[in-house]
Amino acid sequence: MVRITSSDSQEFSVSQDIACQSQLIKNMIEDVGDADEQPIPLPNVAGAILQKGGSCFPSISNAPKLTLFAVIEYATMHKDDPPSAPETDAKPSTSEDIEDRDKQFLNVDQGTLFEIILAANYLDMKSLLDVGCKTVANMIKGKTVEEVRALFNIVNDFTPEEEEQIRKENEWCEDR
Amino acid sequence: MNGLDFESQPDALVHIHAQMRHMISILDKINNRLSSLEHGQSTSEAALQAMAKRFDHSEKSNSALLRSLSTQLRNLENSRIRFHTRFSDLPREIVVQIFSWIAPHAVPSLRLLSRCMQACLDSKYFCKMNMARFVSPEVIHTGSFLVNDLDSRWMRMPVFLQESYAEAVLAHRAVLNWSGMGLSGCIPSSVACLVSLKSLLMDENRIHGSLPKSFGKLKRNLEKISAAHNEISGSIPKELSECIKLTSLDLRFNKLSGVIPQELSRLTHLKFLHLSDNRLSGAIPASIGDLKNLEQLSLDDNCFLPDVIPSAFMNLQRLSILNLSNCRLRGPLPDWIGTHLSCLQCLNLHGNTITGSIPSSIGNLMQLRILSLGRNWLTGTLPIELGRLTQLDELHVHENRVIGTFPRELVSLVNLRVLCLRGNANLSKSIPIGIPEHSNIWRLLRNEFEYW
Repeated sequence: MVRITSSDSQEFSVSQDIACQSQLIKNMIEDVGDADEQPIPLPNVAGAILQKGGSCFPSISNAPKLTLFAVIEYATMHKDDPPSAPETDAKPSTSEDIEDRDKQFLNVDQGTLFEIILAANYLDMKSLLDVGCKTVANMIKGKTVEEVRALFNIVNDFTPEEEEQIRKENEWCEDR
Repeated sequence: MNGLDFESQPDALVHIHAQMRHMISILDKINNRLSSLEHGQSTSEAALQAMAKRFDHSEKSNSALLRSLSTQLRNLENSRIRFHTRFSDLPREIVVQIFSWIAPHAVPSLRLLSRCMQACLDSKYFCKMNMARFVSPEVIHTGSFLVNDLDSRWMRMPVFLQESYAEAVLAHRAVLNWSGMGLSGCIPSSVACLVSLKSLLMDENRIHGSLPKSFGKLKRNLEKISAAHNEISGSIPKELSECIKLTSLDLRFNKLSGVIPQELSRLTHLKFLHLSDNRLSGAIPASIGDLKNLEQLSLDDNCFLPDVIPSAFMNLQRLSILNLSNCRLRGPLPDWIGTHLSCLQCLNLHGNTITGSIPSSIGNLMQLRILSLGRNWLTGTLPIELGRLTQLDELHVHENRVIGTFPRELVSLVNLRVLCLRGNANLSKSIPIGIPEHSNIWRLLRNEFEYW
């Protein structure tokens, strides 16, 4: 078992094969050697405060930066996965290639999804990061620029001239 | 990040603020009325009733206002919860990863989202990742429909993307076969990124603009450039001569102008040099004679200065095709063509102002299949040595000033298919004795003389 602590000092005990899906934790264990001695601190990942899929927070001002709870759930779900093929051999996958269980797992509100992606990035969990990014990409696909702006609260900060310039630059990808 | 994030909801904030001010003003009015009541300034029964009515009404509207205010506040809180981490909070490297899952031809429209998103999408890092997602390594190396679709748009991409695409995809290719793909646009200077390129084939498109100097950067590998039948203008950059591995340069049928750079003589591996049908001017550089490995040379249909056939060309002893038609050449047909260019299969000097007689040494060109000397100022008789050219398929001597009779020795030209003699006013129109009736040459001659 590996002990890890979140930014809000919550301690989790997880089996090594689950914890080591995080390349970050794996490297830490390898560097330190004695995984049982000291809990591994993860200062960027908040603990179980955030119940995945929930929308209740004890306090808005304490909204966690990253979440460990959901990540451990994902890692547990995928602990028996075969090791992924090296990048060069892999067939290019598309954003549609998402396992059903992952689809379900990531069927959460935007904020939670972004938290999970941030956590996966920090913990260096490539498969979770990919599947998270794919999910967001799928939310973008097929939408107009205005729809994407509305979806993500993105403010258009271009001048009309700049917009015109970009449209011109984009002509190459319009159908001939 | 404490409390409500009003920064992201400025409109809601302004709205709530306005409503609160409105409420305060209503409460102030009620207060005034109450105090005036206390002072007994308005004591009539009717006035009191009216006051009570109004108070009741404003209380109702106030409670409605309060309800709506509290709803709005709650909505704000909820939206703050739902979006506690927003898209714009994601670091660039993650935004880039997200966008990288969107197809390369669809993703550029997202550049319109915001400046920050545009910066993400315009980075080379993004382009590389995006291509890696959609194009497998072997496809990058060999090309496929998907890539070709992007390939064919490369010349129309904005400059930054041309460079990224060149580095991410095209830089891995040894062969780019873009012939007849309907390409339009200019060859970008980022062609310099195509460091693995050996063969660049882009004949028969609508490419315009000039050849970038940066071609010179491809000196390590580039062996073949084929860009015939386009609309390429400008001059041939002398930097091309840095590509010393070039064996083939074909720029036929374009709009190239200026002089042929002397420096091309450094391309000593060149076997094929085709610059015909352009607007090249100046003199034909004698230094082309240094290209001793040349097998095919065509400079026809350009705007060169009137000059003689450069004698340096006598060094081009591997030439099988020499096309100098419509090159404003003057002076005699040199003897060295027959003595030195013994591999010639096609000699085309049509449409010049070459004078003198056809040298008998021409009979040494035993491999000659096409001899095209029409529309010149040639005089003298047809040399009997032409009869040695038994491989000859076409013989054009029309529209000259050749005299005498057709030599009967030419009966040996059994492979001749085309014979053009018309337009030589003083050439005898009789078929010489010794040419058997109904032989191949007899029929060609009869045809030619009959319909002169």
